[in-house]
Amino acid sequence: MNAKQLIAPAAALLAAAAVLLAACAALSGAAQRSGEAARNEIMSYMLPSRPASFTEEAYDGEDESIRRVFKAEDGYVLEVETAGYAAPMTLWVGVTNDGSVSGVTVRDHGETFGLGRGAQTDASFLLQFLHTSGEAAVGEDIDALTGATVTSKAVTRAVNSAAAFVTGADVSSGATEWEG
Amino acid sequence: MKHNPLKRSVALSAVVGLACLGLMLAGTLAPMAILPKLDLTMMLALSVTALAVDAYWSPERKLSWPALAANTVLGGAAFALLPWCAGVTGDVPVWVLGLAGAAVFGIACLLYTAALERIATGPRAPLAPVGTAFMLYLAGQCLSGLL
Repeated sequence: MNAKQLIAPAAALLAAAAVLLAACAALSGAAQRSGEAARNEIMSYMLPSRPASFTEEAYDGEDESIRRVFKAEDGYVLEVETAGYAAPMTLWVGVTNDGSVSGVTVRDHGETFGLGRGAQTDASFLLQFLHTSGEAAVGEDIDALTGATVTSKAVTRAVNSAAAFVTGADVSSGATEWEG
Repeated sequence: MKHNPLKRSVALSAVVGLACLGLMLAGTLAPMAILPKLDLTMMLALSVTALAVDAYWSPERKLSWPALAANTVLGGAAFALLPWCAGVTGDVPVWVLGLAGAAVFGIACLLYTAALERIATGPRAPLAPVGTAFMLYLAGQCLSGLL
């Protein structure tokens, strides 16, 4: 092997980097606009009044699981991060001003295919959280996903944390805790 | 074209670059889609894909330690630089991606070459590079599950 043989891979690496930088510069504006539009559209389904816009509020409370807070006229949509089975899970939870959960969606996760991944797609599991007010518990009013009890408890803690934000309940339901 | 043992790094740059471009486009066109993260499993998938491409591109399969070291360094550079340029690194520091990428690509190069030397039987086994890559990916996925 000699130094000349380094030229081809180095040139390929730099060419690929240049193409990606150019594409990133060209797409960044469009990506931001489409991201905000899609976020607002999804969030609008999470509150009963289908609000068209949300205002992001700063959160400096004690519950470390709450990442972002978006306020609308009739409630909030909270971004909550919880410890899942395999990796952190990020959820959006809609909560009306009276503390009732009006929407839940899983935005990011690393759960097991065929088991915990059902938290994202199993509508019957997610529907159980509607109209709860921070007191949901797996095994009582929430039926866990088959083979994914840890994931089910993680989602439950996240939803309870979001509801507790609005009701002002004790944050011991914090989604970062493993005990359910 | 004269044989260049670093061709597999060229293949890696192309594969990682295309993957980053795909992630960037998906993030723009479908911003709410849950996209795969650039974790160890994804790095291994990209590495074995590049190695399979290289196996068809360059039939030379002799293991050379200096070439392996150079490919490891170039692999780390590809996994650090290209995702950073595409803005798909997430919360992971670039140097962590570089170190992890170097380790994954270096180990994948070593194992893939060693396995392919024993599995391939020339023109009668046209699918050997793909099969070896797939087996190595499955093994790596199991290992990452244990970790």
